[in-house]
Amino acid sequence: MSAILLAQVNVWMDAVFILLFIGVWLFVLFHFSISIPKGRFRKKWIEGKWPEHDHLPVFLPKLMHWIHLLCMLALAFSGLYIRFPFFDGGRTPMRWVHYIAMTIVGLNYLWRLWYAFLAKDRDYKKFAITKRDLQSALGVLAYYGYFSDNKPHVAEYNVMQKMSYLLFAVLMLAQGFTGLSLLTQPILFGLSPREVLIGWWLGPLVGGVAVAGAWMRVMHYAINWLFIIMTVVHFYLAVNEDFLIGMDFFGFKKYPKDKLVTHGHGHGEEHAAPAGAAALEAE
Amino acid sequence: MRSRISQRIAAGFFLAVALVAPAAAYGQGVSPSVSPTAPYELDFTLPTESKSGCQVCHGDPALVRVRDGVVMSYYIDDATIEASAHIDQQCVGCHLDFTYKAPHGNGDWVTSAKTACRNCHEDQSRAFGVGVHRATVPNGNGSVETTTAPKPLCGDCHGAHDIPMLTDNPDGQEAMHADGWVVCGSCHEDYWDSYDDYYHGAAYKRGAKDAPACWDCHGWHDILPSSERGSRVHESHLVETCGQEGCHVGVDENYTSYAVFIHGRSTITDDNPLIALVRSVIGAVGRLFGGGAE
Repeated sequence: MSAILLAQVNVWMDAVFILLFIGVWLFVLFHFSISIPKGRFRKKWIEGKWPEHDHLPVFLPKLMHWIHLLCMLALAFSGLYIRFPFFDGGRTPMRWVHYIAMTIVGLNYLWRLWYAFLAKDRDYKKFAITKRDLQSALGVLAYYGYFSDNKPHVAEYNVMQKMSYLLFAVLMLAQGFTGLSLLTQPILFGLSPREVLIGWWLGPLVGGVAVAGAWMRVMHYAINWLFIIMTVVHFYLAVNEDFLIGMDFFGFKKYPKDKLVTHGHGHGEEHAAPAGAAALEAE
Repeated sequence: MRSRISQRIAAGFFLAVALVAPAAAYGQGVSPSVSPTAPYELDFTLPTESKSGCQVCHGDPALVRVRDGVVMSYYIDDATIEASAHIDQQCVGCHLDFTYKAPHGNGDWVTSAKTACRNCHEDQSRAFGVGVHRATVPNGNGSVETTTAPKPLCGDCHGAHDIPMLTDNPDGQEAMHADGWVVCGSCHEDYWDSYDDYYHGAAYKRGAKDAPACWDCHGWHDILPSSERGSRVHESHLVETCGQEGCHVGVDENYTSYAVFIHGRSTITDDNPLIALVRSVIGAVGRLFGGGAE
């Protein structure tokens, strides 16, 4: 019964996530098109009124973001190939790409954690969701939904950004867990990662270790789509909301120095009020 | 010295006889041999320790005949034979009914060649005799009869002059593994088409070396229908089959019921209401924009 369900769940996931992926692109297109009559497109893309910043992204997070991006692209491509082989003779090479990218992205994740909490320039506070962030959530939603032209400015990242980045971090852990659960080679003192991670608890719950592994594959596939869909939104918002700093973050083009401003306080301090000097809010 | 001269004279004499005798015989209108084992009156002889006798003609790419309006090539590439498992076999080792006359007659030499394997590969031949592909089947009355259903001969699955060596030969095993369409699919087309789940069929058709070929699950010479209890893919054997070395680990009966997906993905996909809805919408849009009346 569980296995029949598994077969149907797999087909359902293919259908739902592919439709969702197409739907997200259509939504992004729709959202962008609304920015034209609302005047945001003209202000940003024609008049060049992008959000202002009082400091620029530093090197290490930029580097780690690049590594993360490339590895995640490789993981998504190779992972989707393994499920939907779309050219000949690629399974073994794609598996290797998957394993290598997995290792690098895992090490990069640990590096980012070290940087966030232990480095001299530790920046974990930038991602912490405060009470003030939560209070600004409705305002941020209203701004993105075109119900308001004022985006509450509480910190460097708004509450939606913080939630997204933290969700990315949690999903990374979940994806690592589910991915390792697919390995059945006895590489851990005679036990496989599957046995160690899920065999002893999920196996009895779902009717066997192999079935548990199949459910982990389902989860792995689902999380893969969540990453893809979230990345589409992340990419769209990064480009359409803050293109100049995005270009700087990727190292393509330096953020114009004449646009660097201070808006009454440093970003190491807490913001005094949910209002600021960012271009959009100043209007 | 004298001895060497006499040897040369004797050799020259026999060579002259060998060259002149067939021509002389042909000129006198010798009738074709009636028995493959006839010691005399042959159109030609074959060397006993090489293929050069046959390849004198069959090594020529231009060797063709027109049969029923179709040009058929009888060319056998030396390189193909040299790369095959049977490089040490003589042509007549498989072409048992070779008639030693030209043309070689209109007997069913194809069937003869495709079944000659049993003379060496006895175990495989015996196993084939109990599998579903055997030509004689129980008739329900306690005896057997020859089926009228089309059944494959050894050569239909394994090929002919290019059969690769499998034992201790990874290249040959790889070539055999990739041959699923020729071996099984070309007859069992519906099962070939339905073999398209993500990690088995779709991957196999895209050349994944670790994806199972048909016979990795179904068995080979003694293959049986999945409805028979002796079949490797009968539900009573799925645990062993799916859990065989190099495949799934920790397999139990809960897991093996998932095996319906291996040949059932397209059915499950067709039955999915969301996919059916999307297909109907796409169909309607297609008709709206010039798809035409059905």
